[in-house]
Order: sequence, then C-alpha cells, then structure tokens
Amino acid sequence: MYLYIYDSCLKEKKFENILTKIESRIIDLDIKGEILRMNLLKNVSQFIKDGIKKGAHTVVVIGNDKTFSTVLESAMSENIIMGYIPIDKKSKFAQIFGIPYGELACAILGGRIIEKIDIGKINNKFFLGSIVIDDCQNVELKIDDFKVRVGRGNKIIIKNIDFEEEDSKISNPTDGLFEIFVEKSGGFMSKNSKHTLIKTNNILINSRDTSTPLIFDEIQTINTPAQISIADEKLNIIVGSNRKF
Amino acid sequence: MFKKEMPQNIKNTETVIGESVVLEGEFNSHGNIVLEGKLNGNLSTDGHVLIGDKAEVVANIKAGSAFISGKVIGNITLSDSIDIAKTANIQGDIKASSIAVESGCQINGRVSVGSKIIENPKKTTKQELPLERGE
Repeated sequence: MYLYIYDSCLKEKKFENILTKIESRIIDLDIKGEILRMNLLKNVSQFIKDGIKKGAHTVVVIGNDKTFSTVLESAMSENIIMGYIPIDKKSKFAQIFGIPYGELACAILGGRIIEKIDIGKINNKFFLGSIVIDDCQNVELKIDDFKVRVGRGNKIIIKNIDFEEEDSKISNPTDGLFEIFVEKSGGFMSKNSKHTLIKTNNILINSRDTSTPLIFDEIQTINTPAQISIADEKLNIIVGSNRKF
Repeated sequence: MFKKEMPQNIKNTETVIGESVVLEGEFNSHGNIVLEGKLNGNLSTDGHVLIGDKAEVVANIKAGSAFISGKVIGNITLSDSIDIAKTANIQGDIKASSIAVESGCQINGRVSVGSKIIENPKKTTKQELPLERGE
C-alpha cells in the first residue's frame, strides 16, 4: 500500500489540473493509497506510523523539495521507502533522482527502482541536500585532527546531495562523504573561480563568539554548536533510470 | 625540466584549500591536494601537492610529489619529484627523488635528491638547477 502526502499548496487552483492528472495516472497504474493533505494540524509522523500498521510500504511526497525534506524526518524514523512526484519543474531532488515533473513521475513509482542513498544528520535531525552557513566569519569547522576557518565575505556549503547547474556533476550520494565548499557570499561562482573542497563524513561546527545559524535543506535552521555526520540509516528512494548517480 | 604547468594528474583533485581558508592541525589525505590558502600544522598525502603562489604554509609536508610556487616553512619529504617555481620561498629541508627548480626561487635548507644533498642553496640563479640523482 502507498501513502500519499500532498503539500498544502496543492489546494490552490493553479495546481488543480496537474493534481487531477496525477490522481488519474495513479488509478491507471493501480498504485492507489491513503492520502494526507498537509497542514499545521496534521501529524505526518502519525499518518506514516498508522499507515505502516495497515501494511503501507511506500510514502510518496507530492510537492516540492521543501515538502520532501519536511516528510524525510518522519520517513527516516520509520525506515519506509520514499517516492516523489514533483510539482516544481526546478526541483533539484527530482533531477538528481531522475524523476520527471507531474503525472509522468507516476510511471517511475510503478517501475520501483530503489536506491539506498546517504542521509546527513545535523545534531538529531536528518537532511538530504545541503547545509549553508552564510555568516561564517566566526565559525570554526573541526574535521578529524584539523580545524578550518574561513575569511569574511564567504559562505560555507556542506553538501550531501546537490549540484550547481543542471549539467554539472553532483555530490555522490552513495560515497558516505560530505563535500564542503567555500564560496563568495552573494556572488555567482564562475566556473573558473577557485573554491574550497574538502571531503569528510564528520564535522563539528562551533562559533567563536555568538551562536551562528545553520540552514539545512533551505527550510530548517539549527544554531551552533552542531555535529554533522552521515547517518547510519540509508534512505530507500524510488528513482528513475535518468538519475544522476 | 621545470614544468610551468601543474601536472595533469593533480587536476583530478581530491582536496582544494582556497585563498580565503585557514587550516590548522594534522591534514592527512590519500588524494591530490591544491593549497592556495594558509596551513599551520602538518600535511600528509600519498598523492600530489600543489602549493599556490599565494599560499602560506607553516608545516612539514609528506607527499608523493609536489609543485611549489608559494611560501613554505617546514620540511618537504616526497617519494617522487618536486617542481619549484620562481615565486616559491621554502625555508626547510627538501627530500625528493628528482627536482626541477625555476630561476628566482628561494630555498633555505638542505636539498636531498636521491642520496645527494646540497647544503643551503640560498638562491638559485640558473634556469634549471642541474641536480642529478644520486646513486
């Protein structure tokens, strides 16, 4: 059985047409299931727990990358397979997983190619994409037996699975490593600019003075100090044959 | 022959330390490293090390091979070759199996190529320092 979690934006009129096509395709492929329409009062974790008790094996997010990241925390806790139907044509996760936009993604669900990929942990929370530290002047990264400090006007990006441009190489989501980049704040990084790249699986981030906010998966914030590691658990995700890894 | 370009194989780099980055401590790796920023501590890798012309390194370096065009205070020990550019300023001993030095660089320390050791070559003047491998 499938569990479908709809982003709250899907109740907007502009998504009516695409949602009708998606639901129609789900019926055609006979991959129906229970539906949860997200809002502040609905508990995603409880919905997944209840679904598993009824025999659910897959939770499918219909929304954008932010929706996916929000559901990720609950799905990882229950060790359930995740699927994704993107309704954002610019979805990075969809491009990485090789999942097309809208109703075309339903065929990927039916194909059930499942990959195990790395998930990052920041303190006790899971993240899939990256962590950004915009104000890194007072931040110190402790990695193995060395420390890294970065000068003013730069930002630090710790990537688990991400890419800069559509055709660029992605951070490998199965190598058990993060990639740490340092680039100029607010500026577009040209292909020729020198940026910092360090690969590691464990990072302790401290601030020398006040606590510094760390933004992960573009939606959540944790303040320093923060311990970042590759989680022991892997994400089981349904991918397409055009995936980038 | 001194190579003005970095070796092709170092372009396939595992680690890059940019100009704005300061690294302190023991940095151990197995891949190629490009260092354009600052390092205080020790650096060790099986691969190649490129020290850029703006880099400031206060560390002992152990690596497969190296291309130095920045400032290094510390001993450099390599299992293979070292290329030293004219902008390099090395204060420490160098051990390598072969060496190529560009005119204008500064080396203050003992240079050991194979079994041959040159005592304190303060400043090179020739285009290619004709160091030969020892027996």
